[in-house]
Amino acid sequence: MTERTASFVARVPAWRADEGRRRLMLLSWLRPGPLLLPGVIMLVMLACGLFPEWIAPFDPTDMTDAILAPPGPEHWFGTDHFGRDVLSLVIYGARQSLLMGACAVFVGGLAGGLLGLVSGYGGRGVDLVLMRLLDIWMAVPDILLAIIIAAALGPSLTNTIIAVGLVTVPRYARVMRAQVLAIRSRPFIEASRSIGSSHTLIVLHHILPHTVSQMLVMATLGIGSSILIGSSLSFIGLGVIDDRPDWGFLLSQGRSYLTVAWWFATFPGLAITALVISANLLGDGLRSRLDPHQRGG
Amino acid sequence: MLFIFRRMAGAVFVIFGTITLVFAILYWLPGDPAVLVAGENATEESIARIRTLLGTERPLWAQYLDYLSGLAQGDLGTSFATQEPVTIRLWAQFPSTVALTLLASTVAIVTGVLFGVIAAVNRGNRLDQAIQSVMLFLTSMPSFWFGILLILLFSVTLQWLPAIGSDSFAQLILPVTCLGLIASGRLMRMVRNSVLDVLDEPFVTALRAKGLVEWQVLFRHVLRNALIPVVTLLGILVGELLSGTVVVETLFARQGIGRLLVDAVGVKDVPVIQGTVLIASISFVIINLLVDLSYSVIDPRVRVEG
Repeated sequence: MTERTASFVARVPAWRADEGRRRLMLLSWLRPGPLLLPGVIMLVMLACGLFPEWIAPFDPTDMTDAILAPPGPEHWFGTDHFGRDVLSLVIYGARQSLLMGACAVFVGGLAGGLLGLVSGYGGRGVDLVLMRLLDIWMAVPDILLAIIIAAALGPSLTNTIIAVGLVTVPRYARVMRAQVLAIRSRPFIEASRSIGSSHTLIVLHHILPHTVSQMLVMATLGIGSSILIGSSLSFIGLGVIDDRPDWGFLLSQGRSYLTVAWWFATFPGLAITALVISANLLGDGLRSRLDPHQRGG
Repeated sequence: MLFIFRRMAGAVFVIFGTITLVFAILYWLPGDPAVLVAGENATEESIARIRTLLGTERPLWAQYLDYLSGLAQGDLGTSFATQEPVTIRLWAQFPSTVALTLLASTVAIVTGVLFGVIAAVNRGNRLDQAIQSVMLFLTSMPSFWFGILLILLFSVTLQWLPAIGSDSFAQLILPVTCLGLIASGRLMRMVRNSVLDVLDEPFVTALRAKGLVEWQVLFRHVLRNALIPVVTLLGILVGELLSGTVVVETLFARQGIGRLLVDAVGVKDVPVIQGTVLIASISFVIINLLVDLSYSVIDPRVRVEG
């Protein structure tokens, strides 16, 4: 009797603590915390990319008489050498830059994830060959590789996406491979094999779900680095070149007017930096929230 | 010894692979090089003659073998644009890039280690937070924007330093600061984490317990151990700097390999593009090899595992 009471008493606080922790976890997911600002910046930029015509005060192709006018009440970010409103140009540029970043992450993440999966699950021989290929791939410094791919394909948004995506393939592949290798050797995979599960089933149901959170973190961080590489291409003149300039191209145009119009190059660069910082902070935040080792304690 | 040979064989393989990769990508470069070389008012025949001369209508593998045998003799081909040997054009630009990269890596290492250690020692307080914010900015800013801000402040507003050119030392200051500080961001983060890891180890407590002065604990014991993993990052740092020179040399209108590459891409001068990318990649691979080998000297545990 006393024994039963004791064990009952002992169990109650444990259960309560568990419940409390679960509630705390839920709260910490909803609580804005340090991710509020980068999240808001990201959302604002996303809105600019999706509906620039509602947000921008002017049409970015409107040429006015106010050539290279400094920032003021009418033109917050000043005007460029054609008298176009820089704020509107930056808002419209968000679409190109975000599209480039997101698609490049998609291309690189998909190709890299697939390579990593095959390399990690395919066994020693496949792994060895693929890893040596990635070594070669990574031996050419980032921007140089992006430059020659972009040059070979010609300047366009699609080609910039392909170039940046291809350059970033190895980093996704390596993380994916490490994950797959770690999960593959766990007992539950062996158990699944021993009851006759096919490789397809194991990969789809047991391995891939375990890699999702890590790849999500990589993708978020990847937006930042993709936009940095892509805007470098635009800056050099190998990126998106049409009537809708992205931030990198705006910056390279503004560079010619540094002595007379500081605003022209400053604001597009500020937009790139704000976006990359937000992506990096969100990525770090996601990592610490999704990582089970940091969550449990 | 076996470890060293294995690493060197790996590096040779990677260099060979890089040559092949770059050749393959540039083979797809659109446009007929013969038209480019012939100039504007060339006749059909002269274009055809130049095409045979350049050998660009031969099959891919024949051109590839030709290129390899040329490389083996130290010949990188002839520039389409200026008709000079690529090696000569590269040599002319090399010193400028080397000076920029060496100075920038010095700046990156000094500031990276210094502020990384300061941040780690002040873990969690205001100073640490300030350093971490700056670090975040440095790793997230496009180098060309940081460079533009530097030009706006020091050349346009204060008029202390020249913004463009590559003739004097003063013209080196802004590019070196730009490249070095951008690269120091990641180094800072790495040093900070590494020092924090070592500070948590029991031997540090033991040293403090025996009454060693704090700065001696830090500089004679902690830093030595903390810098071992940082050495591996140096290889990556060089890659970052090499990538960065392309942008920074363009921005500051400096001579150099990166600028040569950008100009060559503009006129589709394939041999020059090939040469610059290869030189950069090969230096990158060799420096990484040296870092790997020195790592095994500093930390004997690696040799066993490798």
